[in-house]
Amino acid sequence: MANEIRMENEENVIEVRDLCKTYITNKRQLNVLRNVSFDIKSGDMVGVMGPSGSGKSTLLYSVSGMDRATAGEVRFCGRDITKLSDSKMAEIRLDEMGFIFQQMYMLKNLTVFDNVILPACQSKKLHETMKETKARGEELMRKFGIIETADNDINEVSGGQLQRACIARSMINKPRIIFADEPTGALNRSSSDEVMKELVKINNEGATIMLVTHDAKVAAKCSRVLYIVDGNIKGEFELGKYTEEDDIKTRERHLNNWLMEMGW
Amino acid sequence: MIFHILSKDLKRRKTMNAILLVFVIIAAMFTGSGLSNMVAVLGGLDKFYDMSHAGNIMCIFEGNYNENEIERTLAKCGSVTGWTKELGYVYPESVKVGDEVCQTGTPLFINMDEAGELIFDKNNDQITEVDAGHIYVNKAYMDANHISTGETITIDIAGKTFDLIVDGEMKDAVWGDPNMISNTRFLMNERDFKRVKNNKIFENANYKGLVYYIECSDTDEVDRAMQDLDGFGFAGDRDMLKMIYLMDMLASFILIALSGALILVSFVILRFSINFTLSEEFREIGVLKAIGLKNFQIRRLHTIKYAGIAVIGAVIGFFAGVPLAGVLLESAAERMVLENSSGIMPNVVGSLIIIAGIVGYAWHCTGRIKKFTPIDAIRFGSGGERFSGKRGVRIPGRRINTAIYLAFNDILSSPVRYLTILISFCLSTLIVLVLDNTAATLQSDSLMDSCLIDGDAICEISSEEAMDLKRRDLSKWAEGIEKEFNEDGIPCEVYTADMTTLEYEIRGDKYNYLTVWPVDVPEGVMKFTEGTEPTNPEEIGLSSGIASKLNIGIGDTIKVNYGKGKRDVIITGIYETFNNLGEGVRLSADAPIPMGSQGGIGYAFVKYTDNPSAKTEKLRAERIRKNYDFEKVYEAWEFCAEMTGAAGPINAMKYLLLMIALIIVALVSVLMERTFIAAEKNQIALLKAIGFNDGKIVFWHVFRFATVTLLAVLLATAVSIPLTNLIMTPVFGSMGVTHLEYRYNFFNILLLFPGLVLGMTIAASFMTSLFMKSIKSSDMANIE
Repeated sequence: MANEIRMENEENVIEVRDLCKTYITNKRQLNVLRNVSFDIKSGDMVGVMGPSGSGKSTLLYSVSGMDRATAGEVRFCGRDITKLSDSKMAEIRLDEMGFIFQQMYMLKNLTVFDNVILPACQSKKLHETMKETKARGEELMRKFGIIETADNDINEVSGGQLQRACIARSMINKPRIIFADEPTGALNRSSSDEVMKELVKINNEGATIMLVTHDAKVAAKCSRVLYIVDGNIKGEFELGKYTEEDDIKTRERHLNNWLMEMGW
Repeated sequence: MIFHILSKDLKRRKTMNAILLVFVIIAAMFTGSGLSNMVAVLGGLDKFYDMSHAGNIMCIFEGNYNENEIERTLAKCGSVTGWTKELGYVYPESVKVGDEVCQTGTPLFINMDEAGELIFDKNNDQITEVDAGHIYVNKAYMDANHISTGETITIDIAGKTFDLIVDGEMKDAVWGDPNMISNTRFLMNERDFKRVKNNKIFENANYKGLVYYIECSDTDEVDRAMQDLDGFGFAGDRDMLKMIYLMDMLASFILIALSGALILVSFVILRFSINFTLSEEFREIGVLKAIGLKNFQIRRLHTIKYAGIAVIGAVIGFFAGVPLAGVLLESAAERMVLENSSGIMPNVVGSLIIIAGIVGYAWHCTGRIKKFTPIDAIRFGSGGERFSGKRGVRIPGRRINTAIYLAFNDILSSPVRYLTILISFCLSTLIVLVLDNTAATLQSDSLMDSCLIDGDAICEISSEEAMDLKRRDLSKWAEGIEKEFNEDGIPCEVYTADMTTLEYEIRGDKYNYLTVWPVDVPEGVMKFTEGTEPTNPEEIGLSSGIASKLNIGIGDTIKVNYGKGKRDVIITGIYETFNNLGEGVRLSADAPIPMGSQGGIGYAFVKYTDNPSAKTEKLRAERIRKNYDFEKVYEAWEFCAEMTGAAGPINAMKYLLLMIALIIVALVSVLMERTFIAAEKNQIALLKAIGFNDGKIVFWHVFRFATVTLLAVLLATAVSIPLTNLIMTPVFGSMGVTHLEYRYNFFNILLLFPGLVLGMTIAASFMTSLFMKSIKSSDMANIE
């Protein structure tokens, strides 16, 4: 699986400089992000935490180009994506980025498998035949233990299975980075653990992940955690790569201590 | 509480509610004004006839009639309660505007002071006198001959001329349309009438006619009694004569049909709107049930909104429909004295029908609420999408355009939703196609045999030549033309047909029928719906109108007087004709009509023997026009269009309906696309998030509309052919023809009209789909 994600060891996949995002509502200016700067290296699994309304999701959407930054720079593999057209940005999202959302949203009239391979059908990046695409889709679903749900409608599978299918969809075009917005937010603990297990697994295989969460148990599995308050990055905590052998309880305790320092 | 929920809903679904409201307004407007017009025309016609003293049956006597005998006979008829009469003189082509002879309608000159049937001006006031040197003429005659009020026309009877100033249009119940009834009454001042009457040409009794308008309770009794009398020419009861207003009635019927289609489209939109609303409010409905509201109460809550839209739409439609009904009535009242005696009642009824229909159907559609349970609301998402999620088609094994795949998948996943568009667009297109097929048939040579006799080109001769031919051998005349044409490189057969009134005796009763005597007509040219054409003097063919009226048919023997006493003839064939309101007789070519007894012919018929192309036929007609001295030369389709006179109005109505159909299509497309965008906001955001650009998503949405519209117009094209037959055959049947070959303008029904509907759908759905640009991929964060 490692060879499915392009490895660019020690290279910055994402470089964020002085990123600002301002909303104007009812003639009031709301500064959601204020001069945020950070980097994400290839193979990193960066967690973003913070209280509600601190700008976590806005940061993720601005960095991934889904939302336009008001000011600042976001470099994706060295290229400033804040200046790109919507169409070009869509192309980058399709080919080079993967997305996982809290609500496990999928197209309702398609089967789970067709949802997984849909981005590959749209992309021209890999120059493969439909047979090859389908084979890869099956391989991914098998890897995430949901191959038996391939022909099911999306209302026929559990939330955990659906979110794993979303992870498979996010990886179908072999992206350079996966953005996950509270991927376990709508799941129970058991499903949440299953999903995180898969994310850690692909991170260990080389995938770069930026993940927003409010759950310390989830964040404890990231290699690095950014704490954001009122649109500013207040602190950064280096946890190191998590492996199956690591004691998760210890990582959680360290993280919780740090979060308490941050005012969590 | 209810009003709070309703006002919130009305704000949330502004476009959907506004478009539904527009449909309700238009449907109420057309239903009300269509009903109003129909009531006014159908009811008002009888009143017009009564006001005009037109009686229940009109009889015409020509030539050597005996006035005393006619009136003695009328007095003997038990059902007759009274009559009026008028003496008239007929002379063809005797009216000129400048140097141009008025071709449409033969004048029937009548003394205003002795008129049996009354006339009215355009303000519906009775015209009781006409100044010397002035005249009133009916509108249809003025339109057909391009005469305007105040213009001077010249009466030229056998070389003696005098001028008259047209004072205006008159409304003439029985003789109101020269396209339907060949004579047009010219009611003149006594001085001018004497100028006509004193012309020596009228010493010939053939140019004189006596018209009776008879009040009776049994028109059949009068008809039978009059047929026995000398000089009897024609009898037509009120129902038959009212057929001249068929086009005015047809306009009302088409409006009613259009209203019906609009109501259906409104229902389809209503159903779509309700289903969409229920899907959206899936969770709320479950919660309402959970807290104890009954099905009835929840259904009432949802129905009230549509009742509100129906009432507002119907009221606006009512107020808009009243002036529209006025305009329609004014247009129909150009030829008739019509008063809107029922007032605004038809508009009120139309609006009430709409309200009842919408509310009833809305209630029916909310029946789906009964299936929802509180558990469903909790188990499934707020949109209830998982509740109704259906699988369409799988991604195929080879690479295809994903937008096209998604479009097909959506259509197959929610066929009922797309059926809404299909039905609306199919109905809208069908109305236009049926009218186009009707117009195409009326403008083709399909009706040639029913108009007179089949032919490829028809050469109309002048009235002088027609008079001259009464004393000549018609066969030699036709042969002469045929020889000239053949020598001129036009391989053809030329024949003609004399039209004369002969006396028949059927089961002891006498009848006079307009009879066609074919001269040199090749075998097989005259078409018969049953049996065979008459081949000798002992055989005749009878029109289906007479056969059904008198209950006689093939094999029956009747008597005919060819001019030298009665003889038995056997009916060998039944045919259909538009002439004389469906009544006529056809003789064999060698029927012994004595020289000089001919009624008169108007045309030489040309049948090409080399089966030329349409283009060659057109060129040949042009050559004959240029090189020969005929009054007019028609191609077969031109002749039929001229004879029926209905193609023009139907074409005009077709373009009006096309415009309405395109507006419907645009409105439905906008409504549906706005709804789809609202319903699929999450899917659009997701696709944008995973890298689909705006163009691809717009294409996905527009392609769905294009695919369904293509299916709708193909279906409409296929259905239009049998439907035209189904709808128009009874209409043509009421004019005497049921066996007719419909013609289709395939360019129009396969390309032009479907293309316009498709183009309008694509344009409207494309413009609306641009709204999806406001949906951002980051909206994924807001999905609940």
